[in-house]
Amino acid sequence: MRKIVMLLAIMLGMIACEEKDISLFPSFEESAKFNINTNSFEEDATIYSSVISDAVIEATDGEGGVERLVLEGLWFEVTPNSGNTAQAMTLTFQIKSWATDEYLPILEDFTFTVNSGKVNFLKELKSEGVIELKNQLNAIAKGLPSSDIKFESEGIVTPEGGTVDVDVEVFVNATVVYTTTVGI
Amino acid sequence: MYVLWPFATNAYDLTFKQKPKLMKRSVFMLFALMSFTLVQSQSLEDYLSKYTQENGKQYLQPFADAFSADFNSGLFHNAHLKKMGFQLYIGVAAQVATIPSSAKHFQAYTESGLFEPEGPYSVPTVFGPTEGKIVPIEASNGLLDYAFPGGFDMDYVPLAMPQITIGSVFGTDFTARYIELDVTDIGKIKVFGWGLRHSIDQYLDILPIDLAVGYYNQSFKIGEYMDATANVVNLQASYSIPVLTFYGGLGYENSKVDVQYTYEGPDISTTSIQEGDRVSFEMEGANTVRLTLGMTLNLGPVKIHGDYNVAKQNTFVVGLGIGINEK
Repeated sequence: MRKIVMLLAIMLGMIACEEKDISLFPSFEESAKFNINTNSFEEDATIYSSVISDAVIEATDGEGGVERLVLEGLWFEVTPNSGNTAQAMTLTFQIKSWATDEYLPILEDFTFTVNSGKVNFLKELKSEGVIELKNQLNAIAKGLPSSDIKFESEGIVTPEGGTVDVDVEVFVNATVVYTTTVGI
Repeated sequence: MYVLWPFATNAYDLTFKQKPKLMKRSVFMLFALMSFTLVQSQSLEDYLSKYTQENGKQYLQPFADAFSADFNSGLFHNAHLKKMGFQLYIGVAAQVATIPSSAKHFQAYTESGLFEPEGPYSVPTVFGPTEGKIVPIEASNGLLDYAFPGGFDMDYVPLAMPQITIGSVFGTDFTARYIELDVTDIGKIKVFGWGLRHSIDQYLDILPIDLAVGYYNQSFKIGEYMDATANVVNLQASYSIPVLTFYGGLGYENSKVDVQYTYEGPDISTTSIQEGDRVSFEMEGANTVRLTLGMTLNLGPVKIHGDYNVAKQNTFVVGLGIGINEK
Protein backbone atom coordinates (compact mmCIF):
# COMPACT_ATOMS: atom_id res chain seq x y z
CA MET A 1 0.00 0.00 0.00
CA ARG A 2 2.77 2.41 0.83
CA LYS A 3 4.97 1.82 -2.12
CA ILE A 4 4.44 5.22 -3.50
CA VAL A 5 6.30 7.96 -1.93
CA MET A 6 6.29 10.92 -1.36
CA LEU A 7 6.76 13.61 -3.65
CA LEU A 8 5.22 15.83 -1.09
CA ALA A 9 7.56 14.48 1.49
CA ILE A 10 10.42 15.46 -0.70
CA MET A 11 8.86 18.83 -1.00
CA LEU A 12 8.57 19.02 2.71
CA GLY A 13 12.13 17.93 3.11
CA MET A 14 13.18 20.68 0.80
CA ILE A 15 11.12 23.26 2.48
CA ALA A 16 10.87 22.56 6.13
CA CYS A 17 13.13 24.49 8.40
CA GLU A 18 11.62 23.18 11.58
CA GLU A 19 9.77 20.21 12.93
CA LYS A 20 6.21 20.17 11.79
CA ASP A 21 3.22 18.08 12.78
CA ILE A 22 1.24 16.94 9.80
CA SER A 23 -1.93 14.90 9.58
CA LEU A 24 -2.21 11.93 7.26
CA PHE A 25 -5.36 10.20 6.07
CA PRO A 26 -4.78 6.63 4.85
CA SER A 27 -7.80 4.38 4.35
CA PHE A 28 -8.46 0.67 4.84
CA GLU A 29 -11.22 -1.86 4.40
CA GLU A 30 -12.09 -4.88 6.53
CA SER A 31 -15.00 -7.30 6.44
CA ALA A 32 -16.89 -10.03 8.23
CA LYS A 33 -18.84 -12.77 6.49
CA PHE A 34 -22.17 -14.46 7.29
CA ASN A 35 -23.18 -17.69 5.62
CA ILE A 36 -26.96 -17.94 5.45
CA ASN A 37 -28.34 -21.40 4.69
CA THR A 38 -31.78 -21.51 6.26
CA ASN A 39 -35.02 -19.74 5.49
CA SER A 40 -35.07 -18.17 8.91
CA PHE A 41 -31.63 -17.33 10.15
CA GLU A 42 -29.61 -15.86 12.97
CA GLU A 43 -25.90 -15.74 12.28
CA ASP A 44 -22.87 -14.20 13.94
CA ALA A 45 -19.74 -12.72 12.38
CA THR A 46 -16.72 -11.04 13.86
CA ILE A 47 -14.09 -8.55 12.85
CA TYR A 48 -11.27 -9.25 15.23
CA SER A 49 -9.74 -6.26 16.95
CA SER A 50 -6.32 -7.52 15.93
CA VAL A 51 -7.37 -7.27 12.29
CA ILE A 52 -8.35 -3.64 12.75
CA SER A 53 -5.17 -2.94 14.70
CA ASP A 54 -3.06 -4.49 11.98
CA ALA A 55 -4.90 -2.51 9.32
CA VAL A 56 -4.28 0.71 11.22
CA ILE A 57 -0.62 -0.13 11.69
CA GLU A 58 -0.27 -0.94 8.03
CA ALA A 59 -2.05 2.25 7.05
CA THR A 60 0.11 4.38 9.30
CA ASP A 61 3.32 2.38 9.01
CA GLY A 62 3.20 2.31 12.78
CA GLU A 63 4.11 5.97 12.90
CA GLY A 64 2.50 8.82 14.72
CA GLY A 65 -0.52 9.04 16.95
CA VAL A 66 -3.99 8.14 15.75
CA GLU A 67 -6.33 11.06 16.30
CA ARG A 68 -9.48 9.37 15.13
CA LEU A 69 -10.87 6.87 12.75
CA VAL A 70 -13.48 8.13 10.32
CA LEU A 71 -16.10 5.58 9.28
CA GLU A 72 -16.75 6.40 5.63
CA GLY A 73 -18.39 3.33 4.21
CA LEU A 74 -20.47 0.31 5.14
CA TRP A 75 -21.96 -2.14 2.63
CA PHE A 76 -22.71 -5.78 1.89
CA GLU A 77 -21.16 -7.98 -0.72
CA VAL A 78 -23.62 -10.75 -1.54
CA THR A 79 -22.63 -14.05 -3.10
CA PRO A 80 -25.31 -16.67 -3.86
CA ASN A 81 -23.62 -20.04 -3.76
CA SER A 82 -24.24 -22.93 -6.11
CA GLY A 83 -27.76 -24.31 -5.83
CA ASN A 84 -29.17 -21.32 -3.99
CA THR A 85 -32.81 -20.57 -4.79
CA ALA A 86 -33.37 -17.68 -2.40
CA GLN A 87 -34.36 -14.52 -4.28
CA ALA A 88 -34.66 -11.93 -1.56
CA MET A 89 -33.67 -11.43 2.02
CA THR A 90 -34.95 -9.29 4.85
CA LEU A 91 -32.58 -8.90 7.74
CA THR A 92 -31.79 -6.99 10.84
CA PHE A 93 -28.08 -6.35 11.16
CA GLN A 94 -26.75 -5.56 14.63
CA ILE A 95 -23.56 -4.94 16.55
CA LYS A 96 -22.87 -6.22 20.03
CA SER A 97 -22.35 -3.42 22.55
CA TRP A 98 -19.15 -3.68 24.52
CA ALA A 99 -20.78 -1.95 27.46
CA THR A 100 -23.99 -3.94 27.80
CA ASP A 101 -23.52 -7.02 25.60
CA GLU A 102 -26.82 -6.11 23.97
CA TYR A 103 -27.15 -6.01 20.22
CA LEU A 104 -27.74 -2.57 18.74
CA PRO A 105 -29.27 -2.25 15.29
CA ILE A 106 -27.32 -1.01 12.31
CA LEU A 107 -30.09 -2.08 9.91
CA GLU A 108 -33.63 -3.10 10.76
CA ASP A 109 -35.79 -5.23 8.50
CA PHE A 110 -33.75 -4.27 5.49
CA THR A 111 -34.83 -6.09 2.34
CA PHE A 112 -32.65 -6.66 -0.69
CA THR A 113 -32.56 -8.90 -3.74
CA VAL A 114 -30.17 -11.82 -3.63
CA ASN A 115 -27.95 -11.08 -6.58
CA SER A 116 -24.23 -11.42 -6.74
CA GLY A 117 -22.73 -8.01 -6.01
CA LYS A 118 -22.68 -5.12 -3.63
CA VAL A 119 -25.61 -3.79 -1.65
CA ASN A 120 -25.69 -0.17 -0.56
CA PHE A 121 -27.80 0.70 2.48
CA LEU A 122 -26.47 4.09 3.63
CA LYS A 123 -29.95 5.61 3.78
CA GLU A 124 -31.22 2.77 5.98
CA LEU A 125 -28.61 3.04 8.71
CA LYS A 126 -29.69 3.23 12.35
CA SER A 127 -27.82 5.53 14.65
CA GLU A 128 -27.54 3.26 17.71
CA GLY A 129 -25.55 0.59 15.92
CA VAL A 130 -23.51 2.93 13.75
CA ILE A 131 -22.41 5.02 16.73
CA GLU A 132 -21.39 1.87 18.59
CA LEU A 133 -19.44 0.67 15.56
CA LYS A 134 -17.66 4.02 15.27
CA ASN A 135 -16.81 3.98 18.96
CA GLN A 136 -15.46 0.46 18.78
CA LEU A 137 -13.35 1.17 15.71
CA ASN A 138 -11.94 4.30 17.31
CA ALA A 139 -11.09 2.50 20.53
CA ILE A 140 -9.20 -0.19 18.65
CA ALA A 141 -7.43 2.31 16.41
CA LYS A 142 -6.32 4.40 19.36
CA GLY A 143 -5.15 1.39 21.34
CA LEU A 144 -7.73 1.84 24.06
CA PRO A 145 -9.15 -1.16 25.96
CA SER A 146 -11.20 -3.01 23.42
CA SER A 147 -12.49 -6.29 22.21
CA ASP A 148 -13.58 -7.87 18.93
CA ILE A 149 -16.37 -6.32 16.87
CA LYS A 150 -19.25 -8.79 16.86
CA PHE A 151 -22.16 -8.60 14.47
CA GLU A 152 -25.38 -10.52 14.33
CA SER A 153 -27.64 -10.89 11.37
CA GLU A 154 -31.14 -12.28 11.66
CA GLY A 155 -34.00 -12.44 9.24
CA ILE A 156 -35.82 -14.43 6.64
CA VAL A 157 -35.30 -15.48 3.09
CA THR A 158 -37.91 -15.57 0.35
CA PRO A 159 -39.32 -17.60 -1.21
CA GLU A 160 -39.61 -20.08 1.60
CA GLY A 161 -38.48 -23.60 0.96
CA GLY A 162 -35.89 -24.54 -1.59
CA THR A 163 -32.19 -24.31 -1.05
CA VAL A 164 -30.67 -21.36 0.77
CA ASP A 165 -26.94 -20.82 0.52
CA VAL A 166 -25.87 -17.17 0.45
CA ASP A 167 -22.76 -15.47 1.71
CA VAL A 168 -23.27 -11.92 2.98
CA GLU A 169 -20.04 -10.10 3.69
CA VAL A 170 -20.23 -6.78 5.49
CA PHE A 171 -17.51 -4.33 4.55
CA VAL A 172 -16.22 -1.46 6.66
CA ASN A 173 -14.25 1.34 5.02
CA ALA A 174 -12.48 3.81 7.26
CA THR A 175 -9.91 6.56 7.10
CA VAL A 176 -7.31 6.81 9.82
CA VAL A 177 -6.47 10.36 10.81
CA TYR A 178 -3.07 10.39 12.43
CA THR A 179 -0.43 12.96 13.16
CA THR A 180 3.24 12.56 12.68
CA THR A 181 6.18 14.90 12.89
CA VAL A 182 8.32 15.83 9.96
CA GLY A 183 11.31 17.98 10.49
CA ILE A 184 14.84 18.91 9.67
CA MET B 1 25.41 20.53 -14.43
CA TYR B 2 23.08 18.85 -12.05
CA VAL B 3 20.24 19.48 -9.75
CA LEU B 4 20.09 18.72 -6.11
CA TRP B 5 16.97 17.99 -4.21
CA PRO B 6 18.00 18.86 -0.72
CA PHE B 7 16.11 16.30 1.24
CA ALA B 8 17.52 14.22 3.98
CA THR B 9 20.38 11.88 3.54
CA ASN B 10 19.29 10.01 6.63
CA ALA B 11 15.75 9.49 5.45
CA TYR B 12 16.45 8.27 1.98
CA ASP B 13 19.00 6.06 0.47
CA LEU B 14 20.39 8.40 -2.11
CA THR B 15 22.55 6.89 -4.75
CA PHE B 16 24.19 9.30 -7.09
CA LYS B 17 24.59 7.71 -10.44
CA GLN B 18 27.25 10.13 -11.48
CA LYS B 19 29.94 11.13 -9.07
CA PRO B 20 32.52 13.40 -10.56
CA LYS B 21 34.52 15.13 -7.87
CA LEU B 22 33.13 18.50 -8.74
CA MET B 23 29.62 17.22 -8.51
CA LYS B 24 30.15 15.69 -5.10
CA ARG B 25 31.71 18.86 -3.86
CA SER B 26 28.84 20.92 -5.09
CA VAL B 27 26.30 18.52 -3.73
CA PHE B 28 27.78 18.69 -0.29
CA MET B 29 28.08 22.41 -0.56
CA LEU B 30 24.46 22.58 -1.42
CA PHE B 31 23.48 20.31 1.42
CA ALA B 32 25.35 22.63 3.72
CA LEU B 33 23.77 25.60 2.08
CA MET B 34 20.26 24.39 2.36
CA SER B 35 20.60 22.37 5.58
CA PHE B 36 17.50 20.38 4.89
CA THR B 37 17.13 17.10 6.68
CA LEU B 38 13.96 15.15 6.45
CA VAL B 39 13.46 13.04 9.53
CA GLN B 40 10.50 11.05 8.34
CA SER B 41 9.15 10.29 4.99
CA GLN B 42 5.48 10.51 4.25
CA SER B 43 3.50 9.07 1.48
CA LEU B 44 1.93 10.97 -1.31
CA GLU B 45 -0.56 8.18 -1.35
CA ASP B 46 -1.59 9.01 2.19
CA TYR B 47 -2.75 12.33 0.91
CA LEU B 48 -4.05 11.42 -2.48
CA SER B 49 -5.15 7.83 -2.38
CA LYS B 50 -8.80 8.59 -1.77
CA TYR B 51 -8.97 11.32 -4.36
CA THR B 52 -9.98 10.52 -7.88
CA GLN B 53 -9.10 12.71 -10.75
CA GLU B 54 -10.92 15.98 -10.16
CA ASN B 55 -10.16 16.47 -6.47
CA GLY B 56 -6.64 15.16 -6.89
CA LYS B 57 -5.97 17.57 -9.69
CA GLN B 58 -7.20 20.57 -7.75
CA TYR B 59 -5.38 19.41 -4.65
CA LEU B 60 -2.06 19.34 -6.50
CA GLN B 61 -2.55 22.28 -8.87
CA PRO B 62 -0.76 24.79 -6.60
CA PHE B 63 2.17 22.42 -6.51
CA ALA B 64 2.32 22.36 -10.29
CA ASP B 65 2.19 26.15 -10.35
CA ALA B 66 4.92 26.64 -7.77
CA PHE B 67 7.10 23.85 -9.01
CA SER B 68 6.99 25.09 -12.58
CA ALA B 69 7.66 28.65 -11.48
CA ASP B 70 10.70 27.49 -9.55
CA PHE B 71 11.94 25.44 -12.46
CA ASN B 72 11.80 28.38 -14.84
CA SER B 73 13.63 30.72 -12.48
CA GLY B 74 17.31 31.33 -11.92
CA LEU B 75 18.34 30.39 -15.43
CA PHE B 76 20.39 33.50 -16.16
CA HIS B 77 22.04 36.36 -14.33
CA ASN B 78 23.31 38.47 -17.21
CA ALA B 79 22.92 38.73 -20.95
CA HIS B 80 26.54 39.19 -21.86
CA LEU B 81 27.88 36.73 -24.44
CA LYS B 82 31.08 37.02 -26.36
CA LYS B 83 30.82 36.58 -30.08
CA MET B 84 33.51 33.92 -29.86
CA GLY B 85 35.52 32.88 -26.84
CA PHE B 86 35.52 30.84 -23.70
CA GLN B 87 32.93 31.69 -21.05
CA LEU B 88 31.97 29.47 -18.15
CA TYR B 89 29.64 29.70 -15.19
CA ILE B 90 29.15 27.03 -12.53
CA GLY B 91 26.83 27.84 -9.71
CA VAL B 92 23.78 27.19 -7.65
CA ALA B 93 20.55 29.14 -7.70
CA ALA B 94 17.97 28.84 -4.96
CA GLN B 95 14.50 29.69 -6.18
CA VAL B 96 11.59 30.34 -3.86
CA ALA B 97 7.99 30.45 -5.02
CA THR B 98 5.66 32.25 -2.66
CA ILE B 99 2.33 30.55 -2.08
CA PRO B 100 -0.64 32.94 -2.12
CA SER B 101 -3.42 32.35 0.40
CA SER B 102 -5.79 31.70 -2.49
CA ALA B 103 -3.77 28.59 -3.32
CA LYS B 104 -4.31 26.99 0.05
CA HIS B 105 -7.89 25.83 -0.38
CA PHE B 106 -10.07 24.53 -3.18
CA GLN B 107 -13.73 23.69 -3.58
CA ALA B 108 -14.14 19.95 -3.39
CA TYR B 109 -16.95 17.44 -3.61
CA THR B 110 -16.98 14.11 -1.87
CA GLU B 111 -15.83 11.25 -4.06
CA SER B 112 -17.21 7.84 -3.26
CA GLY B 113 -18.89 5.01 -5.07
CA LEU B 114 -21.27 4.71 -2.14
CA PHE B 115 -23.19 7.94 -2.61
CA GLU B 116 -23.61 10.88 -4.94
CA PRO B 117 -21.06 13.69 -4.66
CA GLU B 118 -21.83 16.15 -1.87
CA GLY B 119 -20.50 19.66 -1.40
CA PRO B 120 -18.81 21.84 -2.34
CA TYR B 121 -16.58 22.14 0.69
CA SER B 122 -13.58 24.42 1.06
CA VAL B 123 -10.74 21.98 1.76
CA PRO B 124 -6.95 22.24 1.90
CA THR B 125 -4.74 21.99 -1.14
CA VAL B 126 -1.31 20.45 -0.89
CA PHE B 127 -0.09 23.75 0.59
CA GLY B 128 -3.09 24.25 2.87
CA PRO B 129 -3.49 23.55 6.58
CA THR B 130 -2.35 20.15 7.80
CA GLU B 131 -5.73 19.50 9.36
CA GLY B 132 -8.07 18.01 6.84
CA LYS B 133 -11.78 18.55 6.76
CA ILE B 134 -14.20 15.93 8.01
CA VAL B 135 -17.79 16.37 6.93
CA PRO B 136 -20.92 14.31 7.61
CA ILE B 137 -22.22 12.27 4.71
CA GLU B 138 -25.73 13.52 4.07
CA ALA B 139 -26.68 10.33 2.25
CA SER B 140 -26.18 8.45 5.51
CA ASN B 141 -28.21 11.01 7.45
CA GLY B 142 -24.96 12.25 8.89
CA LEU B 143 -24.11 8.95 10.54
CA LEU B 144 -20.99 8.37 8.46
CA ASP B 145 -18.33 10.97 7.72
CA TYR B 146 -16.04 11.82 4.87
CA ALA B 147 -12.44 12.94 5.39
CA PHE B 148 -10.76 15.36 3.01
CA PRO B 149 -6.98 15.16 3.45
CA GLY B 150 -4.99 18.10 4.74
CA GLY B 151 -1.96 19.78 3.24
CA PHE B 152 1.58 20.58 4.28
CA ASP B 153 0.93 24.14 5.47
CA MET B 154 3.52 25.77 3.27
CA ASP B 155 4.06 29.42 2.48
CA TYR B 156 7.09 28.99 0.26
CA VAL B 157 8.43 26.37 -2.12
CA PRO B 158 12.19 26.57 -2.52
CA LEU B 159 14.22 24.67 -5.03
CA ALA B 160 17.98 24.57 -5.46
CA MET B 161 19.31 24.20 -8.97
CA PRO B 162 23.03 23.79 -9.63
CA GLN B 163 23.84 24.45 -13.24
CA ILE B 164 26.61 25.03 -15.72
CA THR B 165 26.64 27.46 -18.59
CA ILE B 166 29.36 27.28 -21.22
CA GLY B 167 30.04 29.31 -24.34
CA SER B 168 30.44 31.16 -26.49
CA VAL B 169 30.29 30.10 -30.12
CA PHE B 170 28.96 32.70 -32.48
CA GLY B 171 27.43 34.47 -29.52
CA THR B 172 25.68 31.35 -28.29
CA ASP B 173 26.03 29.52 -24.99
CA PHE B 174 24.62 26.32 -23.54
CA THR B 175 23.17 25.71 -20.10
CA ALA B 176 22.60 22.29 -18.55
CA ARG B 177 21.16 20.79 -15.38
CA TYR B 178 21.14 17.08 -14.69
CA ILE B 179 20.93 14.56 -11.89
CA GLU B 180 19.63 11.06 -11.36
CA LEU B 181 18.92 9.68 -7.91
CA ASP B 182 17.67 6.38 -6.54
CA VAL B 183 15.45 7.05 -3.57
CA THR B 184 14.09 4.28 -1.40
CA ASP B 185 10.36 3.75 -1.91
CA ILE B 186 10.23 6.31 -4.67
CA GLY B 187 12.34 4.92 -7.41
CA LYS B 188 14.41 7.07 -9.68
CA ILE B 189 14.29 10.80 -9.58
CA LYS B 190 15.64 12.22 -12.76
CA VAL B 191 16.02 15.85 -13.61
CA PHE B 192 17.38 17.12 -16.87
CA GLY B 193 17.41 20.60 -18.21
CA TRP B 194 19.08 22.36 -21.06
CA GLY B 195 19.00 25.72 -22.68
CA LEU B 196 20.48 27.79 -25.44
CA ARG B 197 20.74 31.51 -25.72
CA HIS B 198 22.02 33.72 -28.42
CA SER B 199 23.37 37.22 -28.30
CA ILE B 200 21.28 39.82 -30.06
CA ASP B 201 23.37 42.85 -29.31
CA GLN B 202 26.22 41.48 -31.45
CA TYR B 203 24.10 42.51 -34.41
CA LEU B 204 23.13 45.86 -32.94
CA ASP B 205 26.27 47.76 -32.08
CA ILE B 206 24.30 50.81 -31.20
CA LEU B 207 22.75 49.17 -28.16
CA PRO B 208 24.26 50.26 -24.85
CA ILE B 209 23.09 47.07 -23.18
CA ASP B 210 23.66 43.36 -23.61
CA LEU B 211 20.73 41.59 -25.13
CA ALA B 212 20.09 37.90 -25.70
CA VAL B 213 17.27 35.55 -26.44
CA GLY B 214 17.12 32.19 -24.69
CA TYR B 215 15.17 28.97 -24.70
CA TYR B 216 15.21 26.44 -21.85
CA ASN B 217 13.63 23.03 -21.55
CA GLN B 218 13.55 21.02 -18.34
CA SER B 219 12.09 17.66 -17.41
CA PHE B 220 11.57 16.04 -14.06
CA LYS B 221 10.51 12.49 -13.39
CA ILE B 222 9.80 10.73 -10.11
CA GLY B 223 9.50 6.99 -10.50
CA GLU B 224 6.17 6.15 -12.09
CA TYR B 225 4.32 8.84 -10.19
CA MET B 226 5.22 12.16 -11.68
CA ASP B 227 6.50 13.38 -14.98
CA ALA B 228 6.91 17.11 -15.48
CA THR B 229 8.24 19.33 -18.22
CA ALA B 230 8.78 23.08 -18.33
CA ASN B 231 9.67 25.36 -21.21
CA VAL B 232 10.53 29.01 -21.26
CA VAL B 233 11.64 31.38 -23.98
CA ASN B 234 12.82 34.79 -22.92
CA LEU B 235 14.44 38.00 -23.92
CA GLN B 236 17.30 38.84 -21.59
CA ALA B 237 19.01 42.18 -21.05
CA SER B 238 21.80 43.34 -18.80
CA TYR B 239 23.87 46.43 -18.14
CA SER B 240 27.14 46.30 -16.26
CA ILE B 241 29.07 48.83 -14.26
CA PRO B 242 32.10 48.00 -12.18
CA VAL B 243 31.21 45.29 -9.68
CA LEU B 244 27.49 45.32 -10.54
CA THR B 245 25.39 43.94 -13.36
CA PHE B 246 21.74 44.85 -13.62
CA TYR B 247 19.69 42.36 -15.55
CA GLY B 248 16.15 41.60 -16.51
CA GLY B 249 14.06 39.55 -18.82
CA LEU B 250 10.65 39.02 -20.30
CA GLY B 251 9.68 35.44 -20.87
CA TYR B 252 6.86 33.25 -22.08
CA GLU B 253 6.60 29.87 -20.44
CA ASN B 254 4.52 26.77 -20.12
CA SER B 255 4.69 23.64 -18.05
CA LYS B 256 2.95 20.33 -17.70
CA VAL B 257 2.86 17.91 -14.79
CA ASP B 258 1.52 14.37 -15.19
CA VAL B 259 0.58 12.59 -11.96
CA GLN B 260 -0.33 8.97 -11.29
CA TYR B 261 -1.27 7.17 -8.08
CA THR B 262 -3.43 4.37 -6.78
CA TYR B 263 -7.00 4.97 -5.62
CA GLU B 264 -7.90 3.49 -2.25
CA GLY B 265 -11.39 4.69 -1.51
CA PRO B 266 -14.49 2.50 -1.25
CA ASP B 267 -15.13 0.44 -4.36
CA ILE B 268 -18.78 -0.41 -4.02
CA SER B 269 -19.71 1.05 -7.36
CA THR B 270 -19.24 -1.10 -10.40
CA THR B 271 -19.24 1.90 -12.68
CA SER B 272 -16.90 4.29 -10.94
CA ILE B 273 -13.27 3.92 -10.05
CA GLN B 274 -12.34 0.86 -8.04
CA GLU B 275 -9.90 0.48 -5.22
CA GLY B 276 -6.48 -0.25 -6.64
CA ASP B 277 -7.18 1.55 -9.91
CA ARG B 278 -4.56 3.96 -11.09
CA VAL B 279 -5.58 7.60 -11.12
CA SER B 280 -3.79 9.79 -13.59
CA PHE B 281 -4.21 13.34 -14.72
CA GLU B 282 -2.32 16.19 -16.28
CA MET B 283 -1.88 19.67 -14.86
CA GLU B 284 -0.58 22.82 -16.45
CA GLY B 285 1.36 25.46 -14.59
CA ALA B 286 -0.33 28.81 -14.12
CA ASN B 287 2.44 31.00 -15.42
CA THR B 288 2.58 32.22 -18.96
CA VAL B 289 4.42 35.56 -18.95
CA ARG B 290 7.26 36.29 -16.59
CA LEU B 291 9.09 39.54 -15.89
CA THR B 292 12.50 39.22 -14.25
CA LEU B 293 14.45 42.00 -12.55
CA GLY B 294 17.74 41.35 -10.80
CA MET B 295 21.26 42.29 -9.95
CA THR B 296 24.60 40.46 -9.93
CA LEU B 297 27.47 41.33 -7.65
CA ASN B 298 30.73 40.59 -9.46
CA LEU B 299 33.55 39.89 -7.03
CA GLY B 300 36.14 38.75 -9.51
CA PRO B 301 35.14 35.25 -10.56
CA VAL B 302 32.64 35.01 -7.72
CA LYS B 303 29.12 35.93 -8.76
CA ILE B 304 26.31 36.58 -6.35
CA HIS B 305 22.98 37.36 -7.88
CA GLY B 306 19.41 37.88 -6.89
CA ASP B 307 16.25 38.51 -8.85
CA TYR B 308 12.53 38.75 -8.50
CA ASN B 309 10.15 37.23 -10.98
CA VAL B 310 6.71 38.68 -11.44
CA ALA B 311 4.14 36.29 -12.85
CA LYS B 312 0.95 34.61 -11.72
CA GLN B 313 3.22 32.64 -9.42
CA ASN B 314 5.94 34.99 -8.18
CA THR B 315 9.40 33.75 -7.29
CA PHE B 316 12.61 35.19 -6.01
CA VAL B 317 16.06 33.82 -6.65
CA VAL B 318 19.42 33.98 -4.92
CA GLY B 319 22.43 32.48 -6.65
CA LEU B 320 26.10 31.91 -6.05
CA GLY B 321 28.67 30.75 -8.54
CA ILE B 322 31.97 31.02 -10.27
CA GLY B 323 32.09 32.80 -13.60
CA ILE B 324 34.98 32.99 -16.02
CA ASN B 325 35.03 35.70 -18.64
CA GLU B 326 31.62 36.84 -17.51
CA LYS B 327 30.44 40.20 -16.45
